[in-house]
Amino acid sequence: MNGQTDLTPFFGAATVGITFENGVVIGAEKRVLWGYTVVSKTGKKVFPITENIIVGSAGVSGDYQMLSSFLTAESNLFELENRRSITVQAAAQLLSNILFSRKYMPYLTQTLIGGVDQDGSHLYSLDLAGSLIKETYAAVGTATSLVLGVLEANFRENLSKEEAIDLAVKAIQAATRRDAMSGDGIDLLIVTPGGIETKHLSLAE
Amino acid sequence: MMERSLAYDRAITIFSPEGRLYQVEYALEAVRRGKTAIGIKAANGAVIGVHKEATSPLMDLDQIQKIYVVDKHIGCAIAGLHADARVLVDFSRVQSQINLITYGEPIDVEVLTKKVCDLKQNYTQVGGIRPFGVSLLIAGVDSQGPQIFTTDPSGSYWSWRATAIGYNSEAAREYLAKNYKPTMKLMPAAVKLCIDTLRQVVEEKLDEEAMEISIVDTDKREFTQLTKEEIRSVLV
Repeated sequence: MNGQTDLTPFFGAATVGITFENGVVIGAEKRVLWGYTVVSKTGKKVFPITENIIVGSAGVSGDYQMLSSFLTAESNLFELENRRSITVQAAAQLLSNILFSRKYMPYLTQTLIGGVDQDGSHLYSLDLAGSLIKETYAAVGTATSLVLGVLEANFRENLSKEEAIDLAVKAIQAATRRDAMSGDGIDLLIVTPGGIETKHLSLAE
Repeated sequence: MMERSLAYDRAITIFSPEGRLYQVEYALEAVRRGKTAIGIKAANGAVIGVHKEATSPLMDLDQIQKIYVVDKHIGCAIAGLHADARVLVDFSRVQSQINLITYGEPIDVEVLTKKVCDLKQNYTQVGGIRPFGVSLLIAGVDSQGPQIFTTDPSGSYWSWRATAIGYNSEAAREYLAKNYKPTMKLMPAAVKLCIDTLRQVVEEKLDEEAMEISIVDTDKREFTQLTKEEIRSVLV
């Protein structure tokens, strides 16, 4: 690899985001790698940021944990200063700026950020340098192509919440069967106007 | 009284034994002597009006701007020292653009006001500097609707339905309190009240040459100056 360290194993993840009729689901499996060693089977890659915004990550676990903590703190400060909650778009733009400000010593992460506000449900994907892309469905991590294969065959606009959750689970399951760097269970966060729900599933077949 | 206070009104801002900050109070005096500015919140927008006066017949009033555009959706009028005001207006413009880059959203009017006041407050507490001798009257439209705020040299700020700063502002506020209705439309009712109030407190027969009026409405959210023709149409 041109004398450079191969970072692929650090991005081991099958993290998926899907918008549905009135919300967003973001899910990920739980395998954490250090090089080619599985250091944890119970890692967390999805995080609530506010009462209506969630993120899903792939990358170096310390980096995405820190990043989501920063984003939570910034969102809380925004809410106090503006006397209204931060919009999904604003949180995503802020995250993009945090990432871009570290372009030459980046947080080694890929991030999905989604949520619900007065303008509806939104999902964005970001790479480690802060590129910000609006999506209706998206994936990050080593299993991206495997996940997208399932999503592209099954996604349509205005899925119901249950359909979206099923699709996310199906995509992560499919990915974990063929991607050696992801597996060990599924965490899901689901945002609707009613708030955030959490779901945990095992991958036993 | 005079002797006691003398030691506390010199170069730096420190408390007098009565708990007062003389430098800040003197700065407020600079505001009181400034040209009158009126701000009114209507049902569908906000209006700012200022009195404009040529101190010499050679002055080109058309080229003198007394109301500043801060961002697309926010503008402000000032009362007090103009040079001090320019510094704050430049600061406000930069803060607005920082917000736009950071969050991808235009800044809320109160957030901007607070940032200006944080700066002003700093200038009442740090050594070697003097307070800003200026009050801003900030108008804009954000997600909460139309907004009017005023700031003073101490760094305090207030939200208003209608208010005035500068020369004779107490009389202007009295007149506004009598004639303001929260249901009034921006055009022509609020603009007319703004002009009437100016005429009430400035001892002159003001015409469209001697005033500058800017509005921002909740539809377009664009802070724009009224043309002389538009002002004239409200005057008749």
